[in-house]
Amino acid sequence: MIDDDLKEANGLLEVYTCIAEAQERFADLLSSYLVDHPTTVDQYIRYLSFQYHLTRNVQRYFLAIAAHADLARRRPLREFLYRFANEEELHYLVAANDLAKLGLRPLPMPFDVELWHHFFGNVVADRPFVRLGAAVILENIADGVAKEWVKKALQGAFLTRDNTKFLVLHQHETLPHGNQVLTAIEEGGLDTRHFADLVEGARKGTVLYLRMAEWALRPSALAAICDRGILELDIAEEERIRSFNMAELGHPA
Amino acid sequence: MTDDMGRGAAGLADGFGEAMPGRATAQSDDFHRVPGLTLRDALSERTTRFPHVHVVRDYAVLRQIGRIRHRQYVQSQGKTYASMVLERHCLIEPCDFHAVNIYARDQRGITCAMRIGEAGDQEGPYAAMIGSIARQFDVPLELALTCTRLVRSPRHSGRHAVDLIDFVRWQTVRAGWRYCIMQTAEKLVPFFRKFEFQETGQWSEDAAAGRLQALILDTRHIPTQKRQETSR
Repeated sequence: MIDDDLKEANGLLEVYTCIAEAQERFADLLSSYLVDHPTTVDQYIRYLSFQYHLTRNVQRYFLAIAAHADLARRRPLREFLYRFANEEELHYLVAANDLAKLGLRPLPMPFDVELWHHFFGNVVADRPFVRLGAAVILENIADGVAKEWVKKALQGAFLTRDNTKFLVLHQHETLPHGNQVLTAIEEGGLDTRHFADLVEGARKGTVLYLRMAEWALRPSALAAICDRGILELDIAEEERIRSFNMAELGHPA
Repeated sequence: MTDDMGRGAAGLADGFGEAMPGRATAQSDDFHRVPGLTLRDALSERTTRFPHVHVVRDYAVLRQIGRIRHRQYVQSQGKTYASMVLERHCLIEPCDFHAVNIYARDQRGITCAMRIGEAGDQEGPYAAMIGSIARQFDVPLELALTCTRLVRSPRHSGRHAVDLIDFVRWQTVRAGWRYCIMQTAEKLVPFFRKFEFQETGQWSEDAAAGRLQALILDTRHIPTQKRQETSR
């Protein structure tokens, strides 16, 4: 029993190390630009656009993780994932509505977001903890040493109450999803193999997320050579975006 | 002074082919803005009159317009307008994100573009000047628009610029707006007079654009001009 506890503690420690490394790399990336320049509106448009594509249909991932047989005897974690899916599901509309307040639709899906969905879409059914590891990174990367740079990045004359709802929602203080995911994992009674998958997902998620962040920060980044012109949205989706109201989230924003 | 602006104004409209429910459809003093209808909504309203005119909704399109602006204003005319984006040779400004940009296109792409803003927008670049002109000439700000950054692609004759101005008038007058206040260089005053804009005689010295005169259009809530008055 002590061995199991030790293994779990080691596994958790490695997950926390992944988070700290991701935060450090994110801080480095942001500071490399922000030390000399303020954020520009085109960077912000790219940020909201990749978040729109990254978070759209995110509930499918969490419900797929919850559906795995390894959670049959880990029902508190399964219930957490179910609630989490519900909470996150409409966040893509927040990003799109912020863009609509700037008079714009999202840019087409960046290549690195495509890679994200191809990779995690293929792996989530059989190795769900790989995807959960990536979620741990997404929910925590803006904290720690990255926090001061994220705050600096969120300053710009073009930012208003109307077009920053996504940012405000994802400030750690507003929606503590980072802590919630970690607590759910800590209390999940996971095995060593689960932690190995969490770490793998955390590292791969870090790579892909930082590539997306670089794509937003530097419109001349390599990934931008795959950019396409205009996103085709059907009328119903445009209306969903236009008419979106924060009350639809079902929790205080 | 407001009466002076009426000189040369068009007579009754040549018909309202497309109904906009809930909006006034004849010359009258009862015209009012439709509650809740934004400028973007009004300009985005579907019309068959101007099939080649569109509202900008995508950043890729705004970037293309920004490049045309930069070529026209900064490179050709030497105006020192500042851009707010990272891309070089692309003029995009803060008010592009609270005004509405429109453009005309043909098979080869964008031909002309223009930015439309609400005269009462305090974030607009010429808010103080526009407010002053409006007070001086008794123009209610809530019924007035501004048009800025009219550009044309170098490959194009510019005839679509006429369509953009006609489009704005058609769409916004039917939604309850009446006036347009703008500034332009002396050499372009005759061009805008063809659209019933009246000179105010109020000149200003813009740091980037040079000497500009304020012009006012009073549509009298008529969404089209008499064709015989528009010898363009």
